[in-house]
Amino acid sequence: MPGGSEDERDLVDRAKRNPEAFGALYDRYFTQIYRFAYSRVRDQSLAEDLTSEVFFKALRNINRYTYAGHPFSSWLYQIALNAVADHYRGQRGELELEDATSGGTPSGAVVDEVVRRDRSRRIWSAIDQLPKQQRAALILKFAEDRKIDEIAQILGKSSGAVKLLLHRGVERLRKELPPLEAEAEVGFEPGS
Amino acid sequence: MNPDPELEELFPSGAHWEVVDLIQASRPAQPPLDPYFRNHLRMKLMAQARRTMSPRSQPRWFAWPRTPLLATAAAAAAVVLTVGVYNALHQAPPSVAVVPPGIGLIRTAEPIRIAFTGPVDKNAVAQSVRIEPATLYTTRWDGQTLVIIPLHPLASNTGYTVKLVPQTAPAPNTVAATAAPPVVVRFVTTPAAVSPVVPPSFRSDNLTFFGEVSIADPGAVTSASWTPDGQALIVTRTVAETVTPSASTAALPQVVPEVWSMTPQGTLVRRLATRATLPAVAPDGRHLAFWRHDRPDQSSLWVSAFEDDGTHATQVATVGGLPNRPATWVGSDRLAYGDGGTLRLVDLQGTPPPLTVAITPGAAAAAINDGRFLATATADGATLFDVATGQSKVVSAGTATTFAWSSDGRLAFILSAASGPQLWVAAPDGLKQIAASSTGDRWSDISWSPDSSSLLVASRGASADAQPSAFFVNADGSGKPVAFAAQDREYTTPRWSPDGSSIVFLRGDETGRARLWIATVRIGQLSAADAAQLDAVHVVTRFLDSRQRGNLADAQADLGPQALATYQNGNLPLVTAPGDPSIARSYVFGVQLVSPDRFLVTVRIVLADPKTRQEIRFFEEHLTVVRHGERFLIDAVQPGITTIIGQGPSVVSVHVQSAPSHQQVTVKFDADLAAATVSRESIYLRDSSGQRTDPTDFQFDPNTRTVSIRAKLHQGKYTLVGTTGVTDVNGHAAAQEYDYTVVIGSGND
Repeated sequence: MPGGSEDERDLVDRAKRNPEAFGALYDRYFTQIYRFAYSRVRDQSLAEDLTSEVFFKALRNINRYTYAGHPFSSWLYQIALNAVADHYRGQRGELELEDATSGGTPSGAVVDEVVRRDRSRRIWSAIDQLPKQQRAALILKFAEDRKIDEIAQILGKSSGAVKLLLHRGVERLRKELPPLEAEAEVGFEPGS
Repeated sequence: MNPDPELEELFPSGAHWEVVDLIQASRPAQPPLDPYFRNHLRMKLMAQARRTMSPRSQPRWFAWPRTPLLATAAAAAAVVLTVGVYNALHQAPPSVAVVPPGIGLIRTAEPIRIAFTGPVDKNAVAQSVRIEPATLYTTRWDGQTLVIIPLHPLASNTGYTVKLVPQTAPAPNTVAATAAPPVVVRFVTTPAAVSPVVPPSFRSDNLTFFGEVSIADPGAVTSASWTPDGQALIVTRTVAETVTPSASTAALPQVVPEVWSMTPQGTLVRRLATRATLPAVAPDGRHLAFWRHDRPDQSSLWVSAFEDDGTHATQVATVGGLPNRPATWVGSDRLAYGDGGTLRLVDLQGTPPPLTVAITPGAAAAAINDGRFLATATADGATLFDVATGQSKVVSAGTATTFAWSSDGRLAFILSAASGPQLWVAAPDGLKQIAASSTGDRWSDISWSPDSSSLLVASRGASADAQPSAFFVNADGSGKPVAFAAQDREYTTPRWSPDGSSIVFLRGDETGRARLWIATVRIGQLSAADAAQLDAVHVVTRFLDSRQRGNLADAQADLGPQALATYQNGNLPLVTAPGDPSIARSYVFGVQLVSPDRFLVTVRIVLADPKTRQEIRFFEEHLTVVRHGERFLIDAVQPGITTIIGQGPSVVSVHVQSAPSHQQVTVKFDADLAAATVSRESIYLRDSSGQRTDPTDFQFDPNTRTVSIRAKLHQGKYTLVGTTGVTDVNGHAAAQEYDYTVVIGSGND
């Protein structure tokens, strides 16, 4: 089966008419969705709002969900992604960043940010600075361990386009991140 | 870390792996999480789910058979149908608004709203309404929105067509309605629950509660009770009214009570009476009794047809002062009411039957369902009267304060003893005290559970500031009383819904105003038969879902060899071919227990025109669903009837229930029926030899469009027959005879 176990399909089936089953879906996916929301907004209160929105939207629309070969979580991620986009829509930060960085010129501010933070925060902060589609693809791949097909489903793109996003994202990080030697200079020990 | 082949394929060169490794090795830490948030969100979601997944917030075994194909977006089901007909009367072609399944399933107890964007001749439009299946209705206008109010809740699982066909001359300065093309609105109502083959237990230890939802603003509703069919609430609310006491005095604003019907979701549907209070609906649901406070020293008792708005009510009695409780229905054709120290009876024309009873002033009264006996408090104690003969019998000495009859004819009442209240149950085989308080609590309202196995009792602590609460106690006195829901919250006048799905109650808010709430009830433990039914129906709904999606492989996966062969031999279509009428919706129509782990599940599949999406016909299949190890499979399939939609009344559900001494077959129709055409001759059961069976009882409830046939049936197969003699209120006969196989199996014994 390409995605979504029999057990999950069964659970989703039941969740369309049985509140308890929907509760089980919530229990199963809450952590993932909350983590994903938090990874996108880096704000606990906002992540809570977005997570609420995701599950209430899922509840309202679960009867429209049709199994299409992907896990149910893909659908939830898709809702989450839209919720995040809605949240940022009209807000300067994300859109400007998208516009400013999509040209491919490494931003000095990005590099500065990377160098300033610790290793983990640096790499993920750098991911945070990527254009939103690249960022979403990288988060889903590296933080959420989603398959490329699933990510394509979530982002509404082809698998090829997702591969391109991942490739470009990693390539961009590679260019923007300081070499490991540079990290050592700022007191960072590789491999720790 | 496990290698990811996708990443290895994506990044073949080592140049990127430094970054990939870095990302993988430094995944973000778990984000900060408030554990309360997780639980809080879950609680809110579950409350919403229970409110919206089932139209009536039914308990688990009522709710689960909802066909996924039909179970639409919860939000859509939660609102009334609102269709904007844009310039409907300006455009040349007919304006058709289709609310397709999955988008706009409409609750059966909600009014239909059609919004107009421009001025219309409201009288002409209101008179132009035609509803199929035949449905009695009234209309009102809310601004530019036409509100069509069915007199009885719509049938479940039914496609409705509402047409506005203007026929009369328009009013001045409005669009010429006569020249307008018809407006057509099509929608489908929410699916009905499939009744369990084994009734559930409402014993106190088998009940849990959750999802308390406020359904009316503070102060908006001052009392609430259920209609006998459980489809609506009857509420008293206060409204501001300007009155002019006399020609010489100025108009004064005044707050007056009104009686309304309200959906369990909190939508006010229809005003039933103005300047009215203390309503009581007759057991058959056809009449409403209410009090009017005419003068400071006088009140009058009125009766109106339930369909009326109170303007054609009949005054049947007057009393001094203001009564403190609703009149008591004695059967559906008489009322009992207290008049000081006398309990009087009166019929619906105001004629007093020859029975007056000396009672404790202000005493409560309750009548058994069929109206033969009346219980009240007299100087001798709790006393039972035979209404026909006037003979009385003291059930118990003492001061009785509250009475309630169970559906099976037992009488519960509260006695005020020196030590505190006592709850007693009187049955033909004796009298039993089932609960008592030694703490001085005050007990008031009693509400029997639907299966009469337990009682819900309103309680209040002894102290002056104690808040109202409630508890359950088993009617046989076994077990311990169980508190209703949260003990630290207030529950005033709690009342079971007739189907046991919920309890409605009042709760004061921080400002002291009462707010109407509804709590969902969950049945704790399913019987083995219920659990098996749950599994069997789940397989069938999945099977139907696969067929509607055209997924042959998935559909076949739920079939045993024999059933598979039946479909493959071309006897029955499993999926529809492109260009043919497509499956618009399908649902479980009825479930019968044949033997343990073997069910006969009848499904109905509705086909629609692929171009217009209009539902054109339906067919039924009888599926034998059998447990094979851990799972159920559809072992056999028999074709059922095929019916063209829109040609007279149709049956929308059949439910067969077995009791030790008899079976009851309940048949619901989609259309309001001409009552004279519904009889033992037009709807009956016949045995396998073709002989009609004699029912021991035959009832037709026009409010719910339901025929109930009670008969003593033996193991074997019977056929329920609905003849073409049944006609709807418009005079249209059923297009063809309806046959439904009734199986009385070992599982029913």
